[in-house]
Amino acid sequence: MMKITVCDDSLMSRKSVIRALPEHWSDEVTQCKHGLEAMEACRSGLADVLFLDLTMPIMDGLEVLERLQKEQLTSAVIVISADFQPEVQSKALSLGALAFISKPVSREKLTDTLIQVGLL
Amino acid sequence: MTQNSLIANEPNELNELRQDALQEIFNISMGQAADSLASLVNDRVHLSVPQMHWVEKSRVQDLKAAMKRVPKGAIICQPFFGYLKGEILVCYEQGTQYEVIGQSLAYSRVDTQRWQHELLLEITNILGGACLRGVAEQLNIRIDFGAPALIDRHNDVTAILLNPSSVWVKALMMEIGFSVQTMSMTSDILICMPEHYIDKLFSCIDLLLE
Repeated sequence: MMKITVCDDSLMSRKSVIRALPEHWSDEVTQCKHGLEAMEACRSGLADVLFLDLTMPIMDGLEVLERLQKEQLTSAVIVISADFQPEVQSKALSLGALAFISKPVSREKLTDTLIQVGLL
Repeated sequence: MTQNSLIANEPNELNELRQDALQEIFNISMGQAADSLASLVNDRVHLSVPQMHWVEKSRVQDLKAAMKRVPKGAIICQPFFGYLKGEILVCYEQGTQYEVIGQSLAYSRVDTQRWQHELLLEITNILGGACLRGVAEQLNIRIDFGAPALIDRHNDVTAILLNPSSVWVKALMMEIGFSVQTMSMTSDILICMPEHYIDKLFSCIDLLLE
């Protein structure tokens, strides 16, 4: 069973990601409101998979991706963002995100993506 | 399933939840709208995080103080109606280069200069329309649009709110800034919804929060 962290400054968005998770796939979900908390979750081993928003206060998603690489943390990161212009997508993928999902997220979109990257 | 939270003081007030939801709904919709414009102008469209303001007409000065910046320029107004009702106001600051968008919309160079305001109407349609269509889709409601119109060639956006023709006392304003570098375009969108419709808006949001 997977340990999941969902990082988004919007509670509604965190909830919709959690609702869209495949059944019986994860046994522990951690919620974070900004990048700094997400880094803490990753360091504490709470994020086999990290669902990461980009636009957030305190520390944004792109910086989280950079820091994860620097600290050689191995959480699998899937970016879920309202801003999905091509430039942002390629930036996130070049910084090590496995996949990019545009908001609003749906169970179908999330499941397809997890299958695509081999997490399901 | 265990649920951990690293968040202290999770907001549990209904109003905070609604505010968060509303902001995120606009965020998502603006992202979609920006993507449509970006593919048209072939450049990145930068957006600010939507800011929400409650405004009383008698205290528009407060809005002015609360806004990140108060743009001045050509102002386009597009009404919307249906389940929700209000106006989209877009203020385009001077200095925008219209060639790029003119080309994408198949205007000749001469036409682009001659029909600058037409182009602004098109951009308003793309951005404002796409934004509210995104909102309608997420809330599962119907919103229709009136034609956008140029209402002032050079004014401060808050001055327009005092226009005697707009009938409201208290309203919810959503403020979103956007810019496109290659076009040197800096603009501000204000989505204005009179108080009367806010209950309807919140009842849709409550369904999402259930």
